[in-house]
Amino acid sequence: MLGSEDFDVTVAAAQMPASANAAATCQPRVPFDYGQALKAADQWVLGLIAQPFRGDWPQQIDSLRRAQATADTKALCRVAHTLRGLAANFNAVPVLDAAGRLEGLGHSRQLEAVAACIDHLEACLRSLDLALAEYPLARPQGS
Amino acid sequence: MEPSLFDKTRFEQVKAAGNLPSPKEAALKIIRLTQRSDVGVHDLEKAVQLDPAFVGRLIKAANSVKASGHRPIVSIKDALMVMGIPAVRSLALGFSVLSGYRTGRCPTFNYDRFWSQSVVCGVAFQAIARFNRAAPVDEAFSLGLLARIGELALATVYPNEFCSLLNQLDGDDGGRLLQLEREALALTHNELSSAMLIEWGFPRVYVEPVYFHEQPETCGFAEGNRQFLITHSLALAQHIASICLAPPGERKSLIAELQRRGARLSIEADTLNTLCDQVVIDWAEWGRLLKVRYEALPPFEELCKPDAVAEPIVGDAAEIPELPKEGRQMRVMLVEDDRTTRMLLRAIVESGGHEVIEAANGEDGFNRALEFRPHLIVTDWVMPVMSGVEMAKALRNTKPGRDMYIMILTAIDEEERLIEAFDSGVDDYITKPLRPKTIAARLRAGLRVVSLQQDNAHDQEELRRVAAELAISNRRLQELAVTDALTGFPNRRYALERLKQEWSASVRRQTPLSCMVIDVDYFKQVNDSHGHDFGDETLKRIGGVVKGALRAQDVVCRIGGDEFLAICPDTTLDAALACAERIRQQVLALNIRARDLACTISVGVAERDPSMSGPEGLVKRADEGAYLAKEKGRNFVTSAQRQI
Repeated sequence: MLGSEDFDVTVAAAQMPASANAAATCQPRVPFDYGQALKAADQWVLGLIAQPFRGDWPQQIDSLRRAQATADTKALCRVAHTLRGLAANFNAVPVLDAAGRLEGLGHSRQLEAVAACIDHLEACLRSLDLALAEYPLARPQGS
Repeated sequence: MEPSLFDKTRFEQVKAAGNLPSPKEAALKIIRLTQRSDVGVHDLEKAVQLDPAFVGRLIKAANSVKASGHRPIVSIKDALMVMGIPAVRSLALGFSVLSGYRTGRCPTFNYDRFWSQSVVCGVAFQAIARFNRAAPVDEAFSLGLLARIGELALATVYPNEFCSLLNQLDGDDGGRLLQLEREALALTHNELSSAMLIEWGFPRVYVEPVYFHEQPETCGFAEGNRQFLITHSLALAQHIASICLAPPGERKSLIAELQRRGARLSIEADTLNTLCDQVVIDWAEWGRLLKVRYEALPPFEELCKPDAVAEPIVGDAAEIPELPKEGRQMRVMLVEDDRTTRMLLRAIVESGGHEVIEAANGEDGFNRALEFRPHLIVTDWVMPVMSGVEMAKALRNTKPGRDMYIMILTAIDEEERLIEAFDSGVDDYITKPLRPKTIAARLRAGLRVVSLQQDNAHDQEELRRVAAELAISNRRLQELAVTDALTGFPNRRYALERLKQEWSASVRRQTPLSCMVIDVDYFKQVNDSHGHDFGDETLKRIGGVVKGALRAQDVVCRIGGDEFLAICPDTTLDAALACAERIRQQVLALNIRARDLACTISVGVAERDPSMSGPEGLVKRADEGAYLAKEKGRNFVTSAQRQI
């Protein structure tokens, strides 16, 4: 499955000025296949965390927006870091990249680019969510 | 009296044998500060602030001693001013020991009950001190709280031996426990309590009453003097505690003894009832604050009436957390703010058969780690309130936290930062995404380290146990070396050593010192006519009479086949002569006969005087007295210093 947010979010882009970075998120690149990524992930882990993750990520996006509104870069970094860690379990590279970039923006206090980055991250998460909804999850048993 | 309380060398042996209860680091800091001569309230205030639990308890203690009608104390500074430095020191000590020793390894020792009883004793002694001024009210609580700390110490240092002693007890028989302790461990909890209080800097005027308070009638303090008051007040406080902790149906049977002990201190029945009712209220307040079991009791006036039985309302004991179930491989704590990751980790860890405790951030993790003592901690790095690395650093600064195996979760691109994590005390790391098989393998590696640590701890424990057994054996041997096997009295060797000590104390304090040489008349004839068994029995009976007639601070030793020596500190010649005469008459009343001769005693008495060069001179003068008594025809009390 291809995600609509499949844009170029490279490490090089993270090193550009903030405004250029935000623009960079809008550059389409190679479409990302979440379904294929999920197949390569640990199926036991997927079966265990997919549903709770799907329930939680919208709240985490809300937390990011609150952090942006209050310029709470610490909270911004922390939530982005958590999402990055979770996305790694799904091999969801665009989510990983977007969350990583958000975390970087938080650390460098480049708040002007944060809103666009959160939008982008949300779009990535929606695609992952859709992929998870369609994915035949294994019933969690012993690891 | 110092040497009879506890031998310092023996205390050092007990200390070396294991972990005697001691205050924690925060309390130690406060205690050390209070020992400095230049400490100011500001320094003390800063130290107290570091221990939030102590702040609340200190303020509560200050409010409990302030005069009624004054405004409540709410600040640390005011509390410190009201309490004074000695009281703050002993409170820090008492609360710290209470917090650190809520459980232990002695299976039959009821730790909850011990602390509950100790808290009642603390508030009761404080209430009594407020009434009779036996001790400053601000210091009374701590003394009552720690009066039986020796029991906890025995349960801590000798858990198995003490367990076996408790199993032999039939009910709450303190006297029997002391005897069993003496036989099995060659020391009693009263000796240990006294030694520990001395070690912790409590004034001697408190320590001696603590030693005697379970058997106050043996204290030998002059009626009405301060130590007498403290001893009997502590005894009363302990009895109030026994009533509070007794099953409702048994309380009434303890009231008569309560009133007897109250009367010993000239406390009238009504006043005593009011005092006890206040103790129950204070117990509940402290119980809630310290998370110690408490109960609501009916008014003591009702308890004094027949059939006054009330159902207990058990307090907050349930809030005291229990340790997790045993039998699993490891107790693993997961510290992670994201619930999805926490759930995944739990599943992985539980699939390895380990027990799991969860915490949502570093601070929560730190507190729960000290509470539940996990073997291994898996912690996220970035978390609200306190990070995983900060938590690891904080844990490594605590004694229990030093042994915990800590693994930190990290993203692959954070590996460079791992140096910081390892420097903070982390043992291993797990990279995200979480791979169940990798984590399981790392847990197994952690388990190996934990097992090695436990083996090491067991080895150390075994060494401690052996050292403790050796110390007991040594103490027994030392006691045997100075004990007469027939009578159980100290022997000649001990007598001479003890006399030297009493001589020095007497010279130093400029107080009188007397001794008696007691020679059994016609003892050879007793042996010849009735046999040695009868002779031995005769010596024991006479020894019993002598011991019974002397005070607790006097010492009677068997220094020869038919000869006893009694050492009587703070005793003039006249008083010693009077006492010796009573002993002579009591022995005569035993009516022991050998052939046609009455088995009596001849007693020589002497008091230290400037003409004597040392303790040998004193014994020599007493011996001369005994010789004169024999000369006079036996069955006499004589002094070579004043012939009668």
